[in-house]
Amino acid sequence: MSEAKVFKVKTRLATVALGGGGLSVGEAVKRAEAAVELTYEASLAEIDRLLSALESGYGMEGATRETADYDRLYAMASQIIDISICLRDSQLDNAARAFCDLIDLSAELEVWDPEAIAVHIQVMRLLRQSGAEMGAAERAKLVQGLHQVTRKRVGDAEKVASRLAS
Amino acid sequence: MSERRRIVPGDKLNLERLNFLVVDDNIQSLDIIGQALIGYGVRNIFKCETAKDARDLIERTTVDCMIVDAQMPDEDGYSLVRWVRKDAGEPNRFMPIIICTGHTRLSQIMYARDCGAHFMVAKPITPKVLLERIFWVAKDDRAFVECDTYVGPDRRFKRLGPPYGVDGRRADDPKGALGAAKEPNLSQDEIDSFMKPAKVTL
Repeated sequence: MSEAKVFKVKTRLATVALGGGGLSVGEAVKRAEAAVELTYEASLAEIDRLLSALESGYGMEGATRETADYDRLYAMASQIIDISICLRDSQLDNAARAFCDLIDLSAELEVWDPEAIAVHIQVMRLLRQSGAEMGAAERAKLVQGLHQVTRKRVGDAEKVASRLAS
Repeated sequence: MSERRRIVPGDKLNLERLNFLVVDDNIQSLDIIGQALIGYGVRNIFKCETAKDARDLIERTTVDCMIVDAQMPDEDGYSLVRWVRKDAGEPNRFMPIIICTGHTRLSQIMYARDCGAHFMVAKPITPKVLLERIFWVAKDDRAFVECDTYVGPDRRFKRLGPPYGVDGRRADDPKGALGAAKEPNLSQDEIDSFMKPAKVTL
């Protein structure tokens, strides 16, 4: 094994950002929130497009629901998470994350469960439509239910993670 | 050690003259991060949709901070960060890097930890959290570690010493097991006495 070199580096970010002047954090966050809000409309349209594609392909009546396309579904769920700041009170991001868990674990275990997938898509649609109006406990229960579906129908992610780590 | 406190509204950050690079294959996500940076007052924002475009840019421009998506189709963000740390020229090789991810695949957890980024931030990104990570990176005084298998900031955030049974690499790492405490714990009265106001003569 080679010897590790350990050294300090002073970056320009540290020198300039903390060197005085600039905006206060409060003002910067306020301006950034306003600027990010301008992206909400496009993000909502993209989320709707992704959910419709998931429903038509992998929903209860989906045309390709028996086709195991792990990478495509994982990528679509990831895209929903990426842009779901426009629905930050809906828990849609957590439902999409649960969907990523399901697909990732299914790929590791080479399992394909169309029912479990369809349930996840239904819950994402429900949270997109009315997640913001639901109570926090109700939303949390829905997401918790998705994790239970994955554990029951596909397997235990923690066991797979420790197997992969060893 | 690095300061990892919450930012407060009165803290100041001057990002105006710095070059930020954002790499994300999702155009909407690229737009969200770009808009947040504009709000912080950043003027020079480079955006790339692929790791390849980012490499080309890094080879010809000085970047002060890179924000990169972990999941990208042709080459993922972790691989791009490894390339920066190993093969990009100076000073870009040491640039602060924040990785964004909505989900980490089970098979990539170790790979993500060892890629050499400063911080990871969970998507969806909120402007407050992203600014806080930039603030942390600016204040980060962790040493850089370079060896055959890893190049990047020291992954140990806390000085807890190496795991039991392993000799540390730092000269000041404690050797061997520390064993049981040799002195009794402080009593509650002794602890209280530290906080008791006392008159002093100046």
